[in-house]
Amino acid sequence: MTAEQLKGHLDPLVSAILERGPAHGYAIIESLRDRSGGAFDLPEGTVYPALHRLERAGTIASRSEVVGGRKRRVYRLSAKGRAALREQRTSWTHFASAVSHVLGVQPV
Amino acid sequence: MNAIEHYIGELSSHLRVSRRTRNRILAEVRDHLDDGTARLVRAGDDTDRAVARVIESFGPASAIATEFNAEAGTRAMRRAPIVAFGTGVGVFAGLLVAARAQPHPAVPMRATLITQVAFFVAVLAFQVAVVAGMCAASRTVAIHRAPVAPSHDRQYVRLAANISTGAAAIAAAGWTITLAIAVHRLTRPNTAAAMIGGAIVVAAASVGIAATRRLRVNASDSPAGADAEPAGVFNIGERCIALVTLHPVESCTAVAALSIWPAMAHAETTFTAALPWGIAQAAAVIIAFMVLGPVLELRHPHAA
Repeated sequence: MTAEQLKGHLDPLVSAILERGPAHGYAIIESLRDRSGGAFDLPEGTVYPALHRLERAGTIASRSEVVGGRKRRVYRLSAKGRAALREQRTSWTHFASAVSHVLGVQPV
Repeated sequence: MNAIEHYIGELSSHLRVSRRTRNRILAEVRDHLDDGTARLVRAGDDTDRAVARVIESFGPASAIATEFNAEAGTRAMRRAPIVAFGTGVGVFAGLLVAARAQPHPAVPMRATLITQVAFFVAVLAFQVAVVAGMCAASRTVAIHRAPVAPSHDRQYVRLAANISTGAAAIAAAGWTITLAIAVHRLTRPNTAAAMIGGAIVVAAASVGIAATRRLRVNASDSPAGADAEPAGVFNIGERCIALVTLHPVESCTAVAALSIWPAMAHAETTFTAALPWGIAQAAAVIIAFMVLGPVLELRHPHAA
């Protein structure tokens, strides 16, 4: 999957990763790569602007914390973010199902 | 770690964000590159190779900076109309305070030519400030759902906000001159009200201009979304241009009539005396629309 294809879906993907618990930028990117089986291998730097954008929208929040003896910015999903993620999941399910039917493949 | 510092320096040179945001971004990026390097070194890479691989995975500094600039620019763009509106409200509030300089009951007196010119410029400039501020606000509202505003729209909003606060400052200067002359000529004026009001007007205009100029909404980067044109009630400016273009005589008459009424009410004068003021106002408003219309992209709706 190309970085451009992934960009439009980055916000819900990052939210889904933060749903499991707070994480800093590097951990989010590693989790994104691991959970996609290596398919989502976009330029790592593009995740940080997305994090800033989500924070501005109020779907995630951040604060400086000491992790592993180092000061880092840790992100967590907000209540608004959880609600948005639920909506995005529903929307994605409908979209993926419709595309699968048109393409003539079984929905995953 | 020289390569990492070099990368951080290159990223910093491309960023067009506030100092606080820059510091935060650079700290996060440095942490990320350090973490990645440490992980690869633990996996068996030598340090130089690990650093090179981590930097390559992170992406080109200019491209990453563009994304950050678009994000910060969108945030600033959404603040711009609020800054312009705040400036206008501040200037207007200062004028209300300054108006108490006139003793009651007011003694009618004939305004000097300088007062008339300064007052006229101030009124016209304030109208331009309101129109430009509404242009900035309408474009911001029209694309408020876009996660990242296209650079074209960010530049437009910055221009409109700059015109708005600049015009508010000209209005403030005009009114301050009017006020100073009035206080000088009045018998037993409320000098304290004039000074406090004048100070509020000047402060509001200065803060507004400084705040607008600090809004870095014009980062030159690639559009990150579809261009959105103001629609529905937000194309009032375009409709005004069309109206003036298609019906210049009627428009001029209507604006003159609207201008004469407040001129008569405030100056307690006659229709004949207020007529030149109203006609000059109408002509100035229409010329301002014609001149500023293309700058603010207020174009004829039927134009190609």
